[in-house]
Amino acid sequence: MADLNPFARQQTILKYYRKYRGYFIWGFLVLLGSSGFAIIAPLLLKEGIDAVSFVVSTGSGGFRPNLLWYPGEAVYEVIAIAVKSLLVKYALSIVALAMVGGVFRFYARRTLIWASRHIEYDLRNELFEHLLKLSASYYNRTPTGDIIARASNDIEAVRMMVGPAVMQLMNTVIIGVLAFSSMVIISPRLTLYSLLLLPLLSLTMWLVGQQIHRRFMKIQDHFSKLSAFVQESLSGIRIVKAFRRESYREEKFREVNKEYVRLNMALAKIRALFIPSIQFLAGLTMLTVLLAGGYGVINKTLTLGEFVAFMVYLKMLIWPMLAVGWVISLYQRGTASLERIDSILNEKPDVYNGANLVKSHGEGTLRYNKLSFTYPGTNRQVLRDISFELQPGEIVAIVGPTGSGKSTLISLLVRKYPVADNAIFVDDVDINKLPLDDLRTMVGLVAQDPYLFSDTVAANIAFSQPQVDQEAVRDAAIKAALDNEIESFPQKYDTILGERGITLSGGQKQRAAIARALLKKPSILIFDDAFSSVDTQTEESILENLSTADHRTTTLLISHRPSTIRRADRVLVLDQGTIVEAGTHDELIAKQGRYYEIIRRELLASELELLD
Amino acid sequence: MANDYREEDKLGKGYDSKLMSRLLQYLKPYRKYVALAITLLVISSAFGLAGPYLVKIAIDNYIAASDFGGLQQIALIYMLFLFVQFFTDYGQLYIMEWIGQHAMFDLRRQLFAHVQSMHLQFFDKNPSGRLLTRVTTDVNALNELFASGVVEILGNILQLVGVMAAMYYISPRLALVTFVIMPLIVIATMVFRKRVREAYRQIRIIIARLNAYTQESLAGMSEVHAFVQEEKTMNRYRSINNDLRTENQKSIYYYAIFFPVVELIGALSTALILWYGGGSVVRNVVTVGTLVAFLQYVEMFFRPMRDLAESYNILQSAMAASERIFNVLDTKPEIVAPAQPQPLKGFTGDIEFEHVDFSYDPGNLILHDINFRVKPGEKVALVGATGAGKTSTVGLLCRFYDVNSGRIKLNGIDIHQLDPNDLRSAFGLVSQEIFLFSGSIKDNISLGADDISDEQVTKAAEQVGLLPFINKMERRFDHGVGERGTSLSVGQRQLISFARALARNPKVLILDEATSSVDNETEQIIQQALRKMFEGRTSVIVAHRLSTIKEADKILVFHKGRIVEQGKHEDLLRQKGVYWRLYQLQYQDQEAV
Repeated sequence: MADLNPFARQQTILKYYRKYRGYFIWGFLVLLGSSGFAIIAPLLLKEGIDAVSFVVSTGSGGFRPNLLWYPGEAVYEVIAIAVKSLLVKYALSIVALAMVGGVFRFYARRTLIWASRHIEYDLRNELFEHLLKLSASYYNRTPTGDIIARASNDIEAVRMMVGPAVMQLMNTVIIGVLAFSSMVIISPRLTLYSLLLLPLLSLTMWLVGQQIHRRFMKIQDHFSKLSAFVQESLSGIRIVKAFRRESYREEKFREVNKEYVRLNMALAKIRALFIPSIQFLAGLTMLTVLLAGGYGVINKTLTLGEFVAFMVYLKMLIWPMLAVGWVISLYQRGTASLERIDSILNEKPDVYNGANLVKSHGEGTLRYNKLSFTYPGTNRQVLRDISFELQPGEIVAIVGPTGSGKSTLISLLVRKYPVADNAIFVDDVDINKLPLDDLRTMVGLVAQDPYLFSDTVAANIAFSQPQVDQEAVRDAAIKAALDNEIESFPQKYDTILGERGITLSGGQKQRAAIARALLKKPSILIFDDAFSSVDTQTEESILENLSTADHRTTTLLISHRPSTIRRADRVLVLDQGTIVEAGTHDELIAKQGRYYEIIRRELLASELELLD
Repeated sequence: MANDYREEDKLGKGYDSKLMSRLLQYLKPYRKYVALAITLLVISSAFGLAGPYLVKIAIDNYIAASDFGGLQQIALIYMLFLFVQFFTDYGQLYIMEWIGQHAMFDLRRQLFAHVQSMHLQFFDKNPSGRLLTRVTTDVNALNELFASGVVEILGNILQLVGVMAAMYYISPRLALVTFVIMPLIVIATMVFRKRVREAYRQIRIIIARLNAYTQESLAGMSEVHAFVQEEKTMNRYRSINNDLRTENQKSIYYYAIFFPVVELIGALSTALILWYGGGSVVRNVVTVGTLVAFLQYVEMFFRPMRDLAESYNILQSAMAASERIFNVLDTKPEIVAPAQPQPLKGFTGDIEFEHVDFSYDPGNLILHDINFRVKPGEKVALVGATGAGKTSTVGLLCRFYDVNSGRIKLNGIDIHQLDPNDLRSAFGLVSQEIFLFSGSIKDNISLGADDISDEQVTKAAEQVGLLPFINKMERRFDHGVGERGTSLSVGQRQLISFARALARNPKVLILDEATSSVDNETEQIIQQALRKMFEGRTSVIVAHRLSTIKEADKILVFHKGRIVEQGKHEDLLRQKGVYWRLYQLQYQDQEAV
């Protein structure tokens, strides 16, 4: 209870409350209107009943009230007729009030819940827009499922808070004030009696609520344990099966499961108390009113109509009171969820546009200047003092054992992770000074295991330029040696890929990714072992397609294949994050050093591959 | 997880009576308690209905007669009723929660056992995240159905009937007039339900689409960045998000209309009672108390009606979850014991592969015509490049998977005729990826088996050279390790997995050597441990260590899913074939060590 300001924990959405304050104010007013009408109905009821009981009190037929004076049948008839017409008036008024009130209620709900849907919409967009800004270092350490959960369940919890909870809160306040005032007007004394139990009611709600919260937290805790146990059983299924421990694990699961039930029942013990005890206290209050009110009617300090109307108001008051507990739980859940959303929103993107941006002239020179790199959040340096240069049109191959830093080296070129200033230059401009979008447009990177979207082949290839014409898409596919295969797909270029469509082979995937990169006509091309699943001949023809044009694209490629490596103008040998050898293929072979050894092994491996 | 959201697309159909009756099966063991809960509910409803009637008596008999004593008596009875209602309500709620929790307990157990019994291919196809959701979140989604859904619906219907009966009892005339309104509320509810159901169906589909799109964008984030497609991606997200908002606004509209309409109908009934009832009072046909009681009954009638309209949505999420759960339960395990398994007596390691073909996916053979024989006491090493089929061969031997064709025989008996449990008891498996359960070191060696004593655990630990490490730990064998075993080094974790296999004194050791490199000292310890394990025991080893290979009685050289060479190290080298190349590629470096 440290923060009494309910908005303190809602900083993120304050701006939305502000943006939609018109909705909230209008909603409050209409709700006030609708309750204003609702509050009149019991008064009409009161008038009606009083009128009726007046008739009764004058007596007629076999019914003789204990009056001192009896006016006689004729007078009775006159009064009866007058009262009946009054009743018609009251009845019609009740309906009319409900109709007008209903219209108000319709607008109130629509306005307030709409506001929450608008906020939900904005918040979703804000979150997703932020996610688009975060770099690989965030995604590497955050499970996708976790992000999805926050983007769906948590946003829904926030919406419940800003929508239904706010509406119910307004409703409670309005009805509370109105019903309470009406009760005071009818009978201050009776109001006092009926409020006797109110502290007890609040105390019960508070105590029970506290217990519920505490026990609920325990359940949540144990639920994590249960999940962890199942998760572990799934990951270790091979061991479980190999050692025939199924029944043992089942037994252990039974224990975890049982404890979960036990904790839930501990909660149930309390929670099942909640509604009945409140109903009980509400009933006791009714009882008090019945006694005190009945006594008042007998004493003639209260009319029967007032007595009935009072009971109606009391009932009106009880339900909104009950709803307070619900509102509080929605608020708690909502703020907890908002915290989880905030933890994403507070994540600062570590790759972004710097100040004093410069335009590049796009020739395609590339220079690494004493680049060293450590992954954010770790302290192991994966690249040390890397310097080399590529002239426009030059093709350079990078070779080296697994884990030597090849992929990291080229991924830094598109600023996948933050890069130090003056470490990488494109067209003699520090890449940190280039607009991020320009840099990434200039560089075409093809990953070894590219991601294709579940969309058509054409859309995947034209990913960078959705508006591009069919010819350009085909052209890219032809260059990537994929056109023939696409033509054999059921819907050709309109074939959907992924789970809902066809699954591409590894090689097809790689070539689709190559086509996708070629389509954007980059001035620097990077292949991160992007031909590993493509056969040697096809690979050669693709590389051929790249350089037969009147101009050659500056190309940096990681490869294991001697035939590919040999096509490069120069080779860089990377080991444990440093360049250990550099030169042309022939030079390095002659040197009989690291490169020679790598090529020898690769040749052996490909020989092995060719053996049957 | 990704698929979950797409699966939702199909789940637009809503209430399904078949699913429902299958779900209700889980309440069957507790039917006595269900009956008890219903009884309590009936009692509570009856006493709840009595309230307005007591008010009527109070007004007519005592207030009108100025009998304060009688009023007090009524109050006393009312209090008594409140107590009864309190206890019956509490009992009913508690029992229902108890039933719900136990039904879910049963379902979770059944699911867990079923998932565990599935063949390994099932786990290859179903990501563990998805299965986890089935056992945890999806089961919890049934809570509302089990714990309150069924009884609440029943209770609401009961209350409707009860209110009508009470009205009729007090004044048949007035009751009949009031009933005129009833069809209105029924019609309004039905129309509303139909509309809202359709709206919700649409909403679920769009939410599924939105989640799928989010999932895909996150998965392809590097592509989005590399191709500068942030804006396009954002626009598309915004447009789906907007569809969701629009669809939600529709459902708001229905709700916004429905609630006032219900209230209007309520007001209509109140007005009718006031007009007609009031008139009747004037004509002396009914009493004032009756009028007041009716006014209260009308209110009691509308609440359950509104709840019933909502209850459909509660059922909806339960339906979707149960469909996913039953999908898992209906998938049958493919590897099960035969009806009359042959006993595996006197098995000491006679293993034979006969023309074994195998594939994980149809049409993509991983193993072609594998033939080999392991004689008791022999030590056989499987070598080959990554993906050559060594680990698959071992998986077939443990019957994690079934062969496409050909036969695997132990002591001449086809493994299909054996109980997989007997089969696996004969083997001690050390897999390549070391998996430790969270628990103590001891638990991880014994895996909770009753027939493995503490002495055996200690002995196994000693044999593999784990004891010196354990002795250094404060809690020794009780030292806790996590799923990833982070507090232990790679070498220590390997030794634990060795001890686990050795503690069972298996007839045959099946070892899939880990490729991860360890420091020199640990390597020495591991090699010693391996030697201990091989001693006098038939061993099938997927080998990466030159030392292991050299000591093997027989080397099987796997290449592209076939055994292309077999023999001893020296002989194979002399052949200058696949093994010779493999040796230069993979093992030669170890020669220096």
